[in-house]
Amino acid sequence: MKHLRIFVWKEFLHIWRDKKTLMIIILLPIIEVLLFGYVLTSDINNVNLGVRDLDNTTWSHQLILKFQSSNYFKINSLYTAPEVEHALQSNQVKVVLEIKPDAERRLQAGETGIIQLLLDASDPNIARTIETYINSITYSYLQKDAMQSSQINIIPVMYYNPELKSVFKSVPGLMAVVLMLICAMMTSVSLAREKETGSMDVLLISPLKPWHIVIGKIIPYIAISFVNILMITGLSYFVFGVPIRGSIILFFLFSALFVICALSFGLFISTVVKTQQIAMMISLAGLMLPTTLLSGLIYPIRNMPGWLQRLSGIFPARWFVEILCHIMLKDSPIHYYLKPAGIILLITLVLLIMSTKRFKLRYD
Amino acid sequence: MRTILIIIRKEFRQIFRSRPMLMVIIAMPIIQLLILSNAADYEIKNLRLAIEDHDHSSTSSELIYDFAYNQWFDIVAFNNDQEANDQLLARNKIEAIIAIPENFEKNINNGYPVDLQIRLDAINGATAQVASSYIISIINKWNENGSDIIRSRFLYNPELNYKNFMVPGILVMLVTVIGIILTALNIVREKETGTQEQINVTPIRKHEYILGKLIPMIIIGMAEFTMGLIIALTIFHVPLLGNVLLLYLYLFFYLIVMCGIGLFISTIAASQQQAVFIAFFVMMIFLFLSGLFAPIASMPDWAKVLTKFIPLSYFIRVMRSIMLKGSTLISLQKELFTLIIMAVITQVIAILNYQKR
Repeated sequence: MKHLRIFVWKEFLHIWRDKKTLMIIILLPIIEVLLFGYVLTSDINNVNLGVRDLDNTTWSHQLILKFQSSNYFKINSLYTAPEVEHALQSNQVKVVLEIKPDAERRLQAGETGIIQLLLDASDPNIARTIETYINSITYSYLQKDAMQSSQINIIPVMYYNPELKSVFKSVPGLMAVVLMLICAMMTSVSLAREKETGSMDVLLISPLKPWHIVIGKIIPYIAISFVNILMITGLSYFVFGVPIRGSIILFFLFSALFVICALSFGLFISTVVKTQQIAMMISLAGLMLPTTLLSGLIYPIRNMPGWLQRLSGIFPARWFVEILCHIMLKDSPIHYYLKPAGIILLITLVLLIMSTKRFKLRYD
Repeated sequence: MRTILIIIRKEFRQIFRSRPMLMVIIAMPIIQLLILSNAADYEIKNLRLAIEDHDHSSTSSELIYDFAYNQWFDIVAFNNDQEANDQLLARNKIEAIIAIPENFEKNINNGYPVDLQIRLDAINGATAQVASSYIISIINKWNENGSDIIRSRFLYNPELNYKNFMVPGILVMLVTVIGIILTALNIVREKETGTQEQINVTPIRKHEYILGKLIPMIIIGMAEFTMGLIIALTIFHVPLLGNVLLLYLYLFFYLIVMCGIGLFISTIAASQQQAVFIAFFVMMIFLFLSGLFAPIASMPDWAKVLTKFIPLSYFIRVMRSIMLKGSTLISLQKELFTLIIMAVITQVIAILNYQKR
């Protein structure tokens, strides 16, 4: 037991001495939460709207005023067709609204195509959302104008995240990314370094048992992960109001399960590789990439093609994110997320069995 | 000149000798491009709906038909049990619930406005927004009674294909990873293994050494980009309306900027592990502020200012404009000047910092 304590202390010293890496481990989650909270939104506001008013009557001026007062748009007046073309080409405006001459009379005559929208659809989602906004504003103007009847108002109720903050979805995903980074990548690199520099042999002939070495390597990273979990949830709660609506005990319990799973990944990688560089490449390409992209952190899994959805099922991050969404945001009953929890447990067991087998083979 | 060529030859020999390195250079970008392009999609192909019809009139069924016969929607549940529908939402079985209120038909016929409730799972704000805009566009059609007062034209990407938007940006991401990580790792390894010392005592001049390191990286970056571009054009059918040579002009200066950053990281990192961590950290901030994942226009003002210092944001804009809009040098000259200035500044800082050691 005393050996183990000394070994853990040595590991802490190693981590403590490498100030640059330590700083990044601490700063990374903070900056990620802030970026996701403040920067990564797809809200529509201050869209540059080009207006080419060929009608130029009180009617068209009032319509334009509606857009001006909506907060969503910034009006840029355009006069000629080449101007419109250039404004769209050079990214000055995202959309151009063209009001045809004699609009009011033609409207009453029941003509179509009185207003022409030219949307820069290089980003299809933004284009579609802008189109919806413009349509809604225009129709509400037309309806007030004509005292037309039969209008359906839509009342959207946004469950779990009423203000559509992107940080809500990101916090579970970020937890997965950061825990993978620390537990899997750092552990595998740290074990690989002992092998590469030959100090692993020194450790093995010391009175330390092999499992002492593994446990000693793991404990400091468990501690760092715990600090990071507290930092991410604390920051997102106090700065962005991301709640933990369900049980906090369950939250930590399942986080611990994921930490163990990530550690077994790190352990497994370290038994396969010989050098730090390869350990890093495998963790980056095989873990960080799928964790960031296939966990639902940025893009929803349901929109992916079938083969990619099945692929994402191999990585525990996806299931962890699902569990956290249930606990943190939906406060669902536990049987809603027993299946993802079971899958993580299964992956962990498989990895642990495989790495203990390989570990023994190499060092006994 | 001869010395530089010799160093370049040495670099290429070293890179091609290391199998894992070759894997990183060749296999990783292809995998990344294939996975990321397919993963990055907010577009919902079939939105699963639950419908509550509290009216049961012919008008309400007409509205439901509009949803049922639309390719975007897939009606999964049809009952008036609010709680059961909310549970479906919680278990990710559906994306939205549409509730038609009582007296829907009566009010519409009498000319009163009607409130229609839609309930969405908003944990992912972006998809919730897209989903609600799909639903609203159906209702808008209903409101205007089929007449066509507004005509919309979607320019540059008429099929609203999200891949056309993402793939050019992902190509930028690929050359960024290569430029920064490969350069940083390459030089730090020389430091770590001690071969740096040996080179320092040879008659090789500093500028020869740095050029000899940079030129292979730029060649690899260009090759990488070409490979990605071919995949983008053939597999993903992304259009390339503008001039290819213009793309490469921007790419050249962009790669110089990235190598400069890689060089700088190598001067501050003591080990390969540190270099990778610092590079990972820098790239993450670059990517999030680049406009690749979220539009710059939607960012708060202070973040918009920050994006002006991110080289990625310029190159991504250039790629999208040239490929999708066929933009020419004239409408993108600001981006070119900025990249050239950035190239000069990063190289100068990196080289000054390098000489100190």
